[in-house]
Amino acid sequence: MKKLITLALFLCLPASIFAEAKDLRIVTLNGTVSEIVFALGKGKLVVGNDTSSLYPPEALALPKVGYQRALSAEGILSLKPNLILGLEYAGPPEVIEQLKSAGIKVIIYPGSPGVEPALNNILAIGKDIGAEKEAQKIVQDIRKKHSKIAEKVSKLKSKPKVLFVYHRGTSLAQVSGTETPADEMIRLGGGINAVNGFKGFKPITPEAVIAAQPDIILIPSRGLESLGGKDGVFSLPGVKDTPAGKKARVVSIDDLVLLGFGPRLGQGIEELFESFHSKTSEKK
Amino acid sequence: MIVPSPETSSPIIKNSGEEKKKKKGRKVPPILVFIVLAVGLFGIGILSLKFGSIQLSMGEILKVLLLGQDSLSELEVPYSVLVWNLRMPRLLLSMIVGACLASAGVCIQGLFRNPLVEPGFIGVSPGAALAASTWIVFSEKILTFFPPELKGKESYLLQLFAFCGALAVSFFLHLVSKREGGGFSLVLVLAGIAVNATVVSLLGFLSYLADDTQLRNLTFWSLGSMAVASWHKIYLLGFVLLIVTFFFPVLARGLDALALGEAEAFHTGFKVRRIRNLTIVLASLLVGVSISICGNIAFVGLIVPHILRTVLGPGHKTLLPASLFGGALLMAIADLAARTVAFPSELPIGIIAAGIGGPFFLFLILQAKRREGEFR
Repeated sequence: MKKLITLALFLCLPASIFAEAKDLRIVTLNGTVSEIVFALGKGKLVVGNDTSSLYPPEALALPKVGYQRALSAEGILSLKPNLILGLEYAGPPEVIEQLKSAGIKVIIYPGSPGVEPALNNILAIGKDIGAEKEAQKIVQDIRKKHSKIAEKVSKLKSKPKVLFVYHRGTSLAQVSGTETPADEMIRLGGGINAVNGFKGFKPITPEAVIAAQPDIILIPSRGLESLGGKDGVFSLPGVKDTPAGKKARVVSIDDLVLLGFGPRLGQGIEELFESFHSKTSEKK
Repeated sequence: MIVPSPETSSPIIKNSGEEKKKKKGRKVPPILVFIVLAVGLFGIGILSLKFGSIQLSMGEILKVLLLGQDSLSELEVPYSVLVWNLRMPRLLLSMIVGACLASAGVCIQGLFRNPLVEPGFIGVSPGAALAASTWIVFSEKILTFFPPELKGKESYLLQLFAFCGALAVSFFLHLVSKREGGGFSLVLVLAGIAVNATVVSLLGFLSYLADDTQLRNLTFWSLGSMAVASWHKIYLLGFVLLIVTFFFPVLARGLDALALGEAEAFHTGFKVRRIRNLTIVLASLLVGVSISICGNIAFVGLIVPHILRTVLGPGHKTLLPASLFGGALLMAIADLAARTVAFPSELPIGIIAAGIGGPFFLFLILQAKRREGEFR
């Protein structure tokens, strides 16, 4: 009998070890990373994320460890994770060091915008959480959509000038210069950034808006909401006196689809191309 | 030897209150105050090590502290890491920062002979933050030929710049208040407001020039945080505090003498200018280095000396060291609150300090007004 019990225990042992090895407890520190993990079908392993993780809805319901740039080591540790995934903005750096010193695997991916960096991140995350096949599938899908649109873009005779407006509440309105996710997306969607004299974001001035002469105003959907719809966009100083204002052309896409460079990147490029060029093609 | 008189150290108090104030005098023996502070610090130290993601028992804390490394490490996060890498650095940094800011508060109140001023809102701390921010933005934009370890947030030059910023504002305010003949001076407070407004505007300009990462570093100063704690920073700030404490006896005698008025101090044989300059430099050193390490934390330098002055009396010989311990205690409590109230995320400690300090300040003003009728 004793032998039997020992044998039974012995047989149980490897199974329990195996179960433990597969038992990932992931904390994600960035909205795009969260989205990728969920898109790879591993959302159930996520035990917490940061406040920028707004999609999918399941991610919203998880415990929040603060904003990715203002994390606290103990807060993250309380969720007992064994894998922490973030982009290079995660910080403060001291907290990341503390997490590593606690013996937890912390993986930080680059955050630069662009199709290739985005695809690399998806593949890398897929590899790190054991979902390589799913990652390949998503990457192929994005590549297909991207190359389809890139081909269309290369055939374009004229590209619209697009002004990206970042807006929150009633006061903060900024436009995007070069080297930003918005700038990259405008190019991918077959447009030209209407302002390219500076890097990053600058506050909007009516004169600069008029001087940029944009054909289209591009605004993330939550920004549009905070303005109270399209009329709010046209009430921004200077916008009415631009071609975009005169033809009432405002394009609005979900924030994370537009700027996240995550698994919905292909969808974002397609949506942008269609909304940039549907009207022009109608006119032809 | 100068014996400080209570009324001279509280120049906003008008004559009618002096009798009462004298009676209040020094009612608690200093030794008792120091014992209470020490017990408080020990207690909050234990609580800080105990509470967090994993609650430790007294036995476990003692084991980790005494036996060290691998005594308790079967869990995912070894307890020694929890205590030595996470909780202890935060506890010590918050204590040292609190000690620095409260001591600086006493020095600045003594220097301006005004118990209602504080490095935070007469512009000394914001001046330090501005200098540090300027260094962050410009060292990377203009001084491109500098080696990377001298640039940005990790360089010691950041601390040096913050110190210079605090020093510049302190000297400026001193010049302004000197013209007014010292004492409670509306001009000093107004100058402080002007300095603050200028700093806000210049910080706004800097944030316009800054790139995204620099911008995040700049906003850090407006909130303050102990999450950046590391042993390296503790050694640095601890060293600064240690140097300043060596000057405590000199500072105490000097500030007591200054409380009588500059002319009186001079006539009793004090080198007034030397004391004044020493106070400005040391207070700026404490404020500048603290601010450059953990952000702009206001009100500590106001609350702590005020409470202790009511129990100890205004003599700087006991007030300075007591404020050092009191500041350490207050910041340790604030940090424990910062990391446990909104768990698992964290509240910025500056918000907690201002949340306690703002109402406290208002209370002080109303109390002084009720007691004395009006401000001079």
